[in-house]
Amino acid sequence: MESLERCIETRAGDFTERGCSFLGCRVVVCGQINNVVHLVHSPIGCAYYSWDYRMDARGYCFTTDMDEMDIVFGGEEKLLKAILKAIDEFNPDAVFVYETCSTGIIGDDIQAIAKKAYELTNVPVIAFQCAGFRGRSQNFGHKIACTSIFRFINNENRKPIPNSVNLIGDFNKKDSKILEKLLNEVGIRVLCTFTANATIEKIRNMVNAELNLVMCSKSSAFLAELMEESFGIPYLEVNFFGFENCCNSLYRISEYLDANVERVVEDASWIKMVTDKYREKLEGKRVFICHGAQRAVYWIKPFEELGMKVAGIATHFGIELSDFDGLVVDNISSDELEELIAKLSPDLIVSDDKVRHIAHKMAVPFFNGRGQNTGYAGFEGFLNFAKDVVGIFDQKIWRLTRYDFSL
Amino acid sequence: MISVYSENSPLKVNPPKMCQIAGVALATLGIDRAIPLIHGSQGCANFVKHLMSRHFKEPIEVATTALNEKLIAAGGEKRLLEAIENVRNRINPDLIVVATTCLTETIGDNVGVVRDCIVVRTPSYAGTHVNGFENTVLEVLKFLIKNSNLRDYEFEKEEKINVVTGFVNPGDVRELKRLLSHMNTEYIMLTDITSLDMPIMKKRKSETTITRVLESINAKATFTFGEGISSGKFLESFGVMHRNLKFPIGIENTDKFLLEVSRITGNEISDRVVESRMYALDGLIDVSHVLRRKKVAIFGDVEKVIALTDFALEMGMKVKAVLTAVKSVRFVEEMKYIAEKNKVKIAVFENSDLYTLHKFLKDNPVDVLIGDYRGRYIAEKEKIPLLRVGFPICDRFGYHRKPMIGYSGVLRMAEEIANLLAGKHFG
Repeated sequence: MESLERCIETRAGDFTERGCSFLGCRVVVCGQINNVVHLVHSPIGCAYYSWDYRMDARGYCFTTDMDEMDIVFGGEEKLLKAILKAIDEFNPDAVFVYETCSTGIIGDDIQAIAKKAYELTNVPVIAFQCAGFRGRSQNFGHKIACTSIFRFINNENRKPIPNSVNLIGDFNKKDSKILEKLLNEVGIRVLCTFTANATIEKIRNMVNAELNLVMCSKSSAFLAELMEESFGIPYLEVNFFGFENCCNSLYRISEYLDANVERVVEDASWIKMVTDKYREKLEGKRVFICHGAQRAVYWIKPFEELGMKVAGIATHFGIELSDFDGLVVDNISSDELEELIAKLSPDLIVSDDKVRHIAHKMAVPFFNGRGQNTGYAGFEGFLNFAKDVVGIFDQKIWRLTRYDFSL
Repeated sequence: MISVYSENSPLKVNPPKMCQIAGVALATLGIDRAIPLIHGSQGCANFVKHLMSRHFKEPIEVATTALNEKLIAAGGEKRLLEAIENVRNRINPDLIVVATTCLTETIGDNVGVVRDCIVVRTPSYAGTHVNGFENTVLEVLKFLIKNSNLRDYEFEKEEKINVVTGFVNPGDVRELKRLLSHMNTEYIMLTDITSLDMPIMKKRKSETTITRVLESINAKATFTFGEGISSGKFLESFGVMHRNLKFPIGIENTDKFLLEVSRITGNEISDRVVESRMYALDGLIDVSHVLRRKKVAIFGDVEKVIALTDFALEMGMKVKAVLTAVKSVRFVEEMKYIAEKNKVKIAVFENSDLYTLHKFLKDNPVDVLIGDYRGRYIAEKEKIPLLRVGFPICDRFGYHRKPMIGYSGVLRMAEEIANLLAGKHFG
């Protein structure tokens, strides 16, 4: 736990909330691409634990289930057979092959196998060299995923579609649904949300966009950068969380594209009126945010709009923050998190499911920053967000945990 | 009669088994003030922590050495010692259990440098979570006994028993404890994972402290349920009897367990135990007409599936298919015996996966499926109700608290199956 802006290295013996590059690649970025066989070339562990890692994820677990003999004699042959069997049985749009620590160390040439499988079947097979020991954290896995997918979409025959964008770095299906609708309303077409609800066809179409909108720059700015270099597609870092952020982002987009922002903002103004009413219940409440990186920053403004104050931020991979005067720590461990919560005694903890039960055990109200049943992005999402936050403080049960029988 | 399906497929789709470190983490967290330290990439620790936290709905503490390319080049041993030091400084645990991983086993890291901690060799490519649990209990016993002054403990055997619980849930351990205390029998749980179901604002606490673990060599007998046999064998060398039974799942298996406890300790089956048996039977008889002749498929760990099969047959259900993800001669042999004894036909899948079971069930439909939440894909697609038992169950609440063991376990499972079928049964 250090107040550093850059992603510090995990120390030995940490109870870190960080994952490995395999997790970043398989779970965060690629996991949500539909109709793809996500084949984990590993012993059972990596494949099993990454299976439906996200609470809302639904999919099958494909693995080569390497045993001791496979580790000794190499797993290339087994992998090829597995890919061919998967294609035969499931008829996917593509097969993604993920390397893990064991298969990375024994040096299975997954790139060569992927190429061979493609030649045999004509189904795209992408190999990700994302063994867990590569890089400092799962963030490196995001980079591996982005660069490997870029190599796949690299296409000379780009035919730009007017007024079209890609939403890059949005991994939440509910958020992406709201945002696609919102952008449609201002007259912009979303070609692909990378990667919530993405398909191989949509990903291939990405090169035809006029502008890339980057939601989570930590995980996927690499892809936008690569696309700018190769195809000259400019990119914008946007933030659709909170009313003001959402307006700003839309106006900034309209500088690049033909977008009818004013009318949409005006139509949404009732939402601001509703959420302003919630302020009296929330005014002055203190929030502690614990997220990967970007989402932590994104949440500051929306909470302020509800009259709340961000007391501190903990990240997993470090962020750069200029105008924030609270406590910022990186690589938070579960024991340190308990310590910090006890010290800051916030009224609300915002994080994802990893931290949920730490907050619950300490009887501190918890808010899932990734959205529960609804998305929190866009104007509509901001209303969902405000309702959910108020809902927590309306729940008497949180106060009952502090009941003192001696009174 | 059984038909055995054992396919050595290069591709596994939805295999219901985990790797050893899940077992290490579970066994270790069942010991008071003990901490698992995973020696490998930080992902290993994170994955296990995340899965367990979603199942138990509790904060889970798992430390990692967080190895990466650069650190491996400098030598993992140094990093491991540093990690142990760091964990000690931060939370000062009574015990640190180091688990190796694929990474450290494949590069051949020399974990022999660790002298004052337990090291369990647990690469993912060998064994499963069940072996991880078993190996951890064994290594903990070995380590603690080796490093203690044995003379303090070598007096006459006391009337208490050890129970190696195997990879079960807090609800199961709680039921075992309840039955044993109703038998007025003192017990040592190896290990007591009720620590993973604590009241709000209470830190993890377990009855099994390291002193208690050591006292296990002073018990009359060790009970194992097919999982954790090696610990039972090890304690046998200290004059502790070893009894390996089936999991006490179902009325008969529970009866057998309690009778054996009674025989060894000399404690009579108490009125309270008889009462909870009668209480369960009252409920079981009430649902018996709903469960009668209902077709069922069961999947999961070898020993639990065997005992669950006994339970299903007890209720007059037709066990159509049983599946385990590991290669197991014992599984096939036991199923053969059960099928012959009950004159039924069972399809036995070993070294298999849930996708294979799914394909089988399309042609051979069943009324109910028993297993962990990974069975949900079959359940949803084929519209077969799924009785959630075991680990992990991430998509429902409170299942870590619901036992499958003991009289409470039978009652809970039978009633829940009846409720799942209620719509169909009562129209």
